[in-house]
Amino acid sequence: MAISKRDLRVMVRRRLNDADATFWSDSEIDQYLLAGYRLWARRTRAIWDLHYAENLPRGMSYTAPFEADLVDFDYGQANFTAAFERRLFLEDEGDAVGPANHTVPFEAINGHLSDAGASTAIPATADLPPTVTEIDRPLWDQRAIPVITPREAQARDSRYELTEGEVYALVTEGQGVRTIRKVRVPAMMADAYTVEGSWGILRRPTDVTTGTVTGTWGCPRRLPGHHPMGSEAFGLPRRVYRDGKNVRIEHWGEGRALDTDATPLEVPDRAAVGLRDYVLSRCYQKAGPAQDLKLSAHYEARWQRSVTRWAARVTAQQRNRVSRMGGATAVQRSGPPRPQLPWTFGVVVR
Amino acid sequence: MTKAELRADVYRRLEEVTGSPVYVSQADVDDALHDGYLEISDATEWREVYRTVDLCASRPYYDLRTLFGADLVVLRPLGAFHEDTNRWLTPISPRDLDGGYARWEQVIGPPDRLFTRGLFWIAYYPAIGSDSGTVKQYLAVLPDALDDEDAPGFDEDYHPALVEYALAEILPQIGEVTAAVAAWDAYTAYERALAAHMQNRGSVARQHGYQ
Repeated sequence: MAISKRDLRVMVRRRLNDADATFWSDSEIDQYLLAGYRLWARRTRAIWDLHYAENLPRGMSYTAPFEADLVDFDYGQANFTAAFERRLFLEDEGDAVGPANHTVPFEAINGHLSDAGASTAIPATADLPPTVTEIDRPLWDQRAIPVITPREAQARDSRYELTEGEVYALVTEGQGVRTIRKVRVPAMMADAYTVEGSWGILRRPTDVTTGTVTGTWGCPRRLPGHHPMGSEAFGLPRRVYRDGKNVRIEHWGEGRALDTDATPLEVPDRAAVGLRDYVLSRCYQKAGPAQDLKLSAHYEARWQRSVTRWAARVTAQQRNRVSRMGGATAVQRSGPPRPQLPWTFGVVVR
Repeated sequence: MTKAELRADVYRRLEEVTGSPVYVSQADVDDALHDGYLEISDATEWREVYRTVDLCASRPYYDLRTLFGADLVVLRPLGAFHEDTNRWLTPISPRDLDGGYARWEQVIGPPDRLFTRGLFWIAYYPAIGSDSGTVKQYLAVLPDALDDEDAPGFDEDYHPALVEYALAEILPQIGEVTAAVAAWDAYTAYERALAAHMQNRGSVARQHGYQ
């Protein structure tokens, strides 16, 4: 049984002997809980997921950031539709987000943009979801590609922001907090499945797989070759991506958003007990009549050992791996060594 | 020691009457004992089981949270044995696989490698081409909850750990911070001893009494 935010608050209050919220308010406990929840995910790298930075013309679902919570299908934000508008309609160029010229992927994939004479240029940059904490392994066409610095990209191709072709690296520095740049600029639109109908759940797995379908009614549960993305451990496939000519980002991230009190935490129940200790430590640390630094240190130590244990578990299989010589340097991070003069050149030798 | 005996021991240490406690309810003691049982199991991973995994066609990753049903709480996967080829799967990392055939995710065949992604996903590489074959997956898991007449699953020498843990849980709630921290230290000593015993079974003697 997964532990929810409400369950955890009850556990904390019981140990604090503060059922009436005399010393610690609910919002204060929730704040500590959220901080611990995020910290746990960052330190353990337990939540692993996929994200596709699709090679499609930029689309949009809303024009202002606050609308992100209101949409069911998040195709991104934009506030202008053609490149020339960037400096025309917005007071500050820095406020410009876009351009984007369609609202549903099939409008780009099925050729409606070109039919309408709209731009089909594929942007080189893409935004990562706010839950991403660290990039694990980016891929282009199912091959791992490195994350390089702007200086490395410049050394390879000074026109790397303009040159189109296959993507061979990502640049994250200098692009903004959650923006990645593909090097080179994708030249071709990503392949996509043609699915009957344009919204709702996937009805016919035969649209996306040639495999034998098990069962005769209901919704598809799993698709061969595809990994369910998102924070849910189960459910229905919503959007199925193809890897060819596409950029996939395998990443570590935060657990599911705790929108309501009943939302289960995306951590094992035993790890939730560690979170409880984190919250207790912070509560007892707060200056006030109920402060108890000895108990705070006690619960801090318990939290630390819990989070260390889970972090060790995540890497346990990797620690036992049998490596090949040179296997750890698979992805080339930079070009070949620079040419150098012979080591004795110019040195006085006897 | 059964759970009922452990509970009686907790009340004795709290100087409470087992049948009619005044300050600490039986539900509180039972919760603390249960929590202690899970905590020492979590820390030492003493419970090891295996389950059979049915391989699915081209499935990249299997979810450890749901693969074995809701009743089995997996702490971490251990070894795996492919029952069709009679081979143990060798742990590997995706980085190592990247060093071979770059599009290794497309490779189909009987699995001979094993790796995890994050805490919840396990992969048997290469993926099998059809829904056939099984893997015998060894796992470190949490034990089931104890009934009154049940005893913890590990050796009796370490059972007092649960009493110490329960005291460390209950005493802060009645203002006995120093005693609670002392009980916690006693608990962690038992925990370390059980962990050492588990890690080197056969050559590390069981603990006798309090260290």
